[in-house]
Amino acid sequence: MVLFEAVLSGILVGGMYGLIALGLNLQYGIARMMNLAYGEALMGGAFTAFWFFTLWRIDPLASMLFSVPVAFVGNWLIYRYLLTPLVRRAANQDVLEADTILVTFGLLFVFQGVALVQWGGEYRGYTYLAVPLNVLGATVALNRVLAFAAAVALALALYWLLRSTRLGGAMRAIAIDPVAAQLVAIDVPRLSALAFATGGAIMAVAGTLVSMFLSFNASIGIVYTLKALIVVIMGGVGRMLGCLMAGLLLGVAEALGAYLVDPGLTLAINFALFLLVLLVRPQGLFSRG
Amino acid sequence: MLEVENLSVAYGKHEALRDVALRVETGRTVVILGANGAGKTTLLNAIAGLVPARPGARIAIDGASIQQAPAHRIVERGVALVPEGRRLFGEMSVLDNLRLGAYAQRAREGEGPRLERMLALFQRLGERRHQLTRTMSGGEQQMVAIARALMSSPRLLLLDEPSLGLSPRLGKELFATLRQLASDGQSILLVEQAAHLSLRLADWVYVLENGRIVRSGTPDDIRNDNSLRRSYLGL
Repeated sequence: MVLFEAVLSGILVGGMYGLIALGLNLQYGIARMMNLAYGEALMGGAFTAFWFFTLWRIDPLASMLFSVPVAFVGNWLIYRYLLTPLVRRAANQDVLEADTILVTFGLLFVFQGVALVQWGGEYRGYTYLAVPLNVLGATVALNRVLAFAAAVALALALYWLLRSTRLGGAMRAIAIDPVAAQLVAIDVPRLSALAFATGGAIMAVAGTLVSMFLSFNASIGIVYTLKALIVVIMGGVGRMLGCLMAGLLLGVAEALGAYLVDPGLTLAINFALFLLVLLVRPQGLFSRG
Repeated sequence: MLEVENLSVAYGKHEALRDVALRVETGRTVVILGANGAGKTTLLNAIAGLVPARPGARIAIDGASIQQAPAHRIVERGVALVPEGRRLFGEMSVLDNLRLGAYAQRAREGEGPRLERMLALFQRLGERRHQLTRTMSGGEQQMVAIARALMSSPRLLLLDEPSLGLSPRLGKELFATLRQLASDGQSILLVEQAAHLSLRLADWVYVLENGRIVRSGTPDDIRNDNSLRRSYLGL
């Protein structure tokens, strides 16, 4: 029964991992930018939820009305004014990749530094919907179930959007071949910026959801950037459902490792899985071919 | 409808096109003959907005300049390119590729009937509408590429060596389809290495050598020119 509880809590966290991997897929798969400051929007969303809740008793879900648009606009600005100039300047794709990684690596420390100065380094958290809930005989907190349900619902909505709408089709076309996309009248720079900004907005949602049941501090962003990266590599770049499945898998693996061996092993399990996938199936667990 | 003047393109120090001028009249088929490396692909890519022209060039559709417009706007102006290497969305089905072809605002109206017409024109695509295009043969992929370009309801269709890599039989089939399009009034600008098939289709021919137009004329003029017969017709 305790084992089942561990698996269940892994699945509940895994939904979140799937969601943040989808957002990274929007940024890396469609806008083609490896953004190492990706997780900072999650940190921002979490702090927004925390302060709104502790200072003004505003519901964390309502705080997203503020944090999500801010993350969207902020990421749009980063894409448009920080990263697009690099594209124009870069001699080739390799130079561009190196440049964007360096720039966003620096950006990550800027955001982290500002957050540290503002809010200090200590871990924060608040109590929200900490009601025990019985799921198939196991006990879990309502806030975790809510966060899972919201993450999976958003991920599926995003999947539907990409699969079944004209706009989503255009974004998938950009992910496959940006030149061919221009030839069918797709405004590639505009939709890439939209995808990038949406990826950031998703992280603000994820940050809000995470803050409901996990403590966090100013330097938490990079941890989630890495997790998203690992899940995207596991699921396959551009594979939306693959990323959702890989997210659940990572969540369960972490929970089982923590339960069966030691909770301190979480990060080690992350990277062990990462290395294993890179060695055995570098194209991703759920890719064809 | 298409007017090109003073078109020069350089990749770094290498000059790929120099002072090219050409015209395509509405409803006509114009063929540009040229050997490998003559600048045929660069010429079409410059018209489609994929590579920038040197300052001073003029590219206009119906008198309005499209020079320096981004590629997606040029599609909206009614110019569609079937590019070198086809550049299909390989991980998508035939239908998804064709629907994306109609992404342009100008193509939204009448999308359904146009799709039906494409599937009738290229019957093999109708049978394989749900197949992923990367799993199709070269000839089938070329059909998808042409149908995708036509889905944007273009006033001018640009074709970059459509017969490349096709068997002689498929090449003939393809040109029969192009002839049908032309007789339906589609304006076409086609670049080719294979002269004998394309000359039969052409109303007017330009010959491109080392980035310059060196000759132009009717197909008969070209056929009767001894030096050209040797270079392009293999006679």
